[in-house]
Amino acid sequence: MSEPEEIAQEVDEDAGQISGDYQLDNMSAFLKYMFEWKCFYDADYFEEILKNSLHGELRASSFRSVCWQILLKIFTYPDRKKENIIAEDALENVPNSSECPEETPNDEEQKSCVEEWSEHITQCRREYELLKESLELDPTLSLVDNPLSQNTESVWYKHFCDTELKTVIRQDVVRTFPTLDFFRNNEHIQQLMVAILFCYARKYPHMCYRQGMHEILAPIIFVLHCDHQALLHALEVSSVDEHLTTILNEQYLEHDAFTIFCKVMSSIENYYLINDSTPTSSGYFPPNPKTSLSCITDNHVVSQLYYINEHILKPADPALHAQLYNLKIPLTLFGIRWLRLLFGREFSLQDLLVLWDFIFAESFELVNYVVVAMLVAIRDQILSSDHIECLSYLMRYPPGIDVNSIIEHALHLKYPHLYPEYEPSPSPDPAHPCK
Amino acid sequence: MPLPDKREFLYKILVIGELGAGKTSIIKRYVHQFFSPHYRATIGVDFALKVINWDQETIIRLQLWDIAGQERFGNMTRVYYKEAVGAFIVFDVTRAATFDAVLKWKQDLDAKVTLPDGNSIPCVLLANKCDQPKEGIANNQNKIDEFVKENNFSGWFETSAKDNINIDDAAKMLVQKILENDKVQANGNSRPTSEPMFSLSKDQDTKSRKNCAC
Repeated sequence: MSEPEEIAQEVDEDAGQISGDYQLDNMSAFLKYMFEWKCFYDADYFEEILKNSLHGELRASSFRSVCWQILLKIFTYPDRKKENIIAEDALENVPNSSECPEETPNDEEQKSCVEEWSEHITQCRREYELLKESLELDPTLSLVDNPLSQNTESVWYKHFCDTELKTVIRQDVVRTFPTLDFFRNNEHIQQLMVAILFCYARKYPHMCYRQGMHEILAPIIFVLHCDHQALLHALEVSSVDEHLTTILNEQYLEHDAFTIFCKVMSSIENYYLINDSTPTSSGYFPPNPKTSLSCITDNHVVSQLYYINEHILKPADPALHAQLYNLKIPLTLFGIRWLRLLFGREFSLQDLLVLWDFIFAESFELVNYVVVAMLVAIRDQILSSDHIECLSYLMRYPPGIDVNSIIEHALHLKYPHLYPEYEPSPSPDPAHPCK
Repeated sequence: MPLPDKREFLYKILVIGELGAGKTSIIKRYVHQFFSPHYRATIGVDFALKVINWDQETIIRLQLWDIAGQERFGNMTRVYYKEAVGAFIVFDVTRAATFDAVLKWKQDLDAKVTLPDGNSIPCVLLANKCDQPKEGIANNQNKIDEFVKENNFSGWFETSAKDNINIDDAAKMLVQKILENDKVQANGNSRPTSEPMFSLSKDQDTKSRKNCAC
């Protein structure tokens, strides 16, 4: 493990003007910050990120948004061997102490990935700009059109649809995380959310906007914002390398949130789809959907919850499965919300982010196991409840359930051989030397 | 627990209508006597409980099911509506479009849940946010009266969750209708009135406890 002097030495190369005028704690925070950033330059760091994400240890990271973009494959390292990591991690069962680069690796290799990321993110931002521009219609510039036109190609018609859709979106956006000032009283953030969700709706017309998407977007914005703030604090102490200021740039909060949001949605869009009905371009669904003829289980989210119930919950905890069956509480009653919001209402925001680290790190299939782990975590309550009590527990998941033990249990359910030692209340993990 | 001579009923009531009409606010006002402009959008379904001491002999437990505005479009409402015996359909008087959807909700409701005798379940229309300037039909009480008659609603109320207007009265009307239906059903099926519409049996509870492996 690197000694503080060594870290300082590394950092010194970038932060040439450190003069000793700054307070010691500011400086050591800065050094810690730069040390973490430097780690990203090493492709081996990917394994560390993965491991930390799987064990709830990105909580303290100042670069969670960067980690998410890596985990979601927006940023890539050359030659990753993700599959091995999980196995290794489990078999070793001892914290690995040598994952962080101890010395600055070979310059060319080291620069290339971070540089690529900053090029890639610049490209993504440009694409978003273009998309946004292409959606900005000024109907008054049209000479052939008129506001009463019912032609769906009419600029005026599109303009009215756009306005209506934005109203629908805004209605939910203003109700995002009402207990957090960052969302509730922040017109800037609310406008930004409407813009992103609107662009998404137009880019993916089969999805359009559906209730709940705003709560997938919100944590993404929050994480980006936190990372931007951390960078601003660091910049108060000293300058940093240009890739860092490119990748974490406050000005592009909207753009980067859009990129991450689209990526997350691509993995969970099935939770939102309702048979094959598509909303109209103003955000409403057709008045007489064909769905009344089709079967409920045609809904992907419903069949997924059925699968979870029969193939994961039942073998893992037959008594719990039987109890829910006897009380006639199908998983759909609460599970649709759990899935659509990726558990956003079931945990505090800080714990939710830890859970998302975990889901992004492995695969979205883990969601199924998280559902079961969450049920098992309150099995005593469920088993001793009547219908109404049980519904209350499930619709308002009890606060204070330890998210780390949910994660450990989900891993155990998914990989019983690799993670055999799940215990209901695991002792705190030994400190990772690289933190 | 109720006194032995008290009758206890449990009723499931749906609260449906377009997104942002104020369904959650109405429920919170009714159950918790509280209003906040900052409720989160309901995703899927939520529920709340309200206990009413209806009269000396009767306790009524209402299970209020708050169904998200966008859920009408999937077949999920079939699951949510199951065993409901009454409903509120809510629209927002400040947005005429939410009234246009009322009939669609009513049709969805009547298509998916009925009383044991085949009749539609009692349904009360709520014209919510009446503390604010109205738009469209909400300005015309006669027209709403007609609409309510034509479409087989039990009645309608102007409500405000914010200023606590008419919500208790609307609930009273709905519960009254449900009780009447219950009596009719009970007579028809020669079921004693003291039996709830559906009961949460205690046997079930103890049986499943035995199943518990812990």
